[in-house]
Amino acid sequence: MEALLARYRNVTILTVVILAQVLLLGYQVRGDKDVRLVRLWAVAAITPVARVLHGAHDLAAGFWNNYIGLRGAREESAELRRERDRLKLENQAMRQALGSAERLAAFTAYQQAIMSTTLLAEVIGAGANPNSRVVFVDQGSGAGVRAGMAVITPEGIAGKVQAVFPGASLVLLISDMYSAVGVILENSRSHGVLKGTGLNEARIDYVPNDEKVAVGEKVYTAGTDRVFPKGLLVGTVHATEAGRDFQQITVYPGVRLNRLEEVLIVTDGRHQDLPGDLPRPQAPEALLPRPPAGGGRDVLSVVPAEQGSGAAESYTPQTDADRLKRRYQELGDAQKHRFGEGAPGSKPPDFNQGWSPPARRSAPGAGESPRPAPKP
Amino acid sequence: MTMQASVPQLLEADLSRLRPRVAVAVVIVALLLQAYIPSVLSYAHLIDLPLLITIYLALLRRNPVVGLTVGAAIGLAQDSLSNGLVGLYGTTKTAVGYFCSSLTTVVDVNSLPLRVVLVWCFYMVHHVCFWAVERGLLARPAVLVWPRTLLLALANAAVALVIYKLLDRFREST
Repeated sequence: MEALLARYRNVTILTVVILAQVLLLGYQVRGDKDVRLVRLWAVAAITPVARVLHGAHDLAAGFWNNYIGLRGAREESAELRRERDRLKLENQAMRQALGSAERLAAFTAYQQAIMSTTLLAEVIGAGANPNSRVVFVDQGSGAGVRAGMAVITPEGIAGKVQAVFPGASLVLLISDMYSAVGVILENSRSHGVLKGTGLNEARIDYVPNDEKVAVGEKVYTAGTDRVFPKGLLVGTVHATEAGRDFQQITVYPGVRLNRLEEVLIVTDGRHQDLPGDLPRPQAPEALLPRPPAGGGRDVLSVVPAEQGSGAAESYTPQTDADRLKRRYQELGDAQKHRFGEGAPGSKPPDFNQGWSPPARRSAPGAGESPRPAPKP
Repeated sequence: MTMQASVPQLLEADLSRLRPRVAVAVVIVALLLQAYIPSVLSYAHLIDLPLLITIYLALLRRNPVVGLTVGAAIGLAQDSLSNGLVGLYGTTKTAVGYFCSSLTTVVDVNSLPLRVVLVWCFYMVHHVCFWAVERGLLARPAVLVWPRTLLLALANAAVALVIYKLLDRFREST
């Protein structure tokens, strides 16, 4: 037996060891249990060394990242700073382009919304006089701009063209002290004159004290100055104060006059309604029937020649001109002449042929003289 | 050596070419690296360092008992540090350790290239055993992808070439 064991010793040990581990596996699988003790020993033996290893790794990684890895960090930082500055400029340019595109879209929509024909222009400069409020735009006489044309924006009117040059125009803003615009208040419908103050605000003159003007009320162009079409927004009332004869009304323009970039020059102005305007009178749809023919004392029941004999309606001359017209038509028909035909200089019909004064309804009384015969 | 000899005695006797404390240190470092490196290098888990060390230590001496003992110890330790069943790697590495040591009785394994070829072979044996235990004993849906296993065996053999060259520096002639 001992010899047998010695002969198969290795295989026996292998079998025992493997069988023991298979039993261990079976124990875990069947009982759904864990051999915690074995794991505990292994973890307890390994963890301290792992902690040291982890610390060494952190140390090495920190040394690498904080010292060796930072080689060239200064150059990289400078490069990144340059990149950041370049991106900032690029971002700013793109924002400006986006803002410009949005403004142009608003201008285009406004151009289509209003009745007047306008020309888009870009503000290219301001006047040299600090006391005046003028700007230069990039459209001039070559584009059809003429002095006196209104300059507007979707936010409100801006000014009027004061001088025109071949490639540019000088625009007098409504905030200039020499600017005057006929305006109308939205609610009270009071007319006044908007005058510039030299600042970014304006005032309205000639509004009587008894007119009720509210702060925040909108101001529109009245069209009375024959520069700005009626119905364009000017601004809103900022403050009102009773004056000696007229109110002192301060208006904030709707457009920011110190930040104008694009404007519309009104090349063909058309007046339009103010908000709240009553609709235009319509043609009457319900009409009474015509009065009966022949019932009157001064009625000539004659069918007009152009209507033909089959026309149902009678023609009733009402005035001397009507009667004269009818007479001429009868003369033309008798002489087979059609008015409106024939070359210039051709012979006209004889308007005196067979003419006799129309029969009078009653004999002329005292003090009445017979009507003289008309002379063609 | 008799059956009554203890495992430390076996280790002392059969790993005489590598000092026992060096052998133990190598095993611990291998287990540590196996548990630690994959957290730093994602593909490191494809290298089975405990298996490479098992093969190396088993090939050192011509004693299958020592080989299976080393394999069982390393395998169980590897199981303990994983979240799997304890005994999976132990079983397979026990078999690998045994057959490695048995092979040394018929083949001279001092040649480094031959040991690398043996690593490739035993890596395949290890994976086939592992697959068989999972599939046969535990009835798990394990899949053995041959092309992948062959490539991994090659990669492990290449790593073994470096590791064995390094470990040979610690060997002492008896």
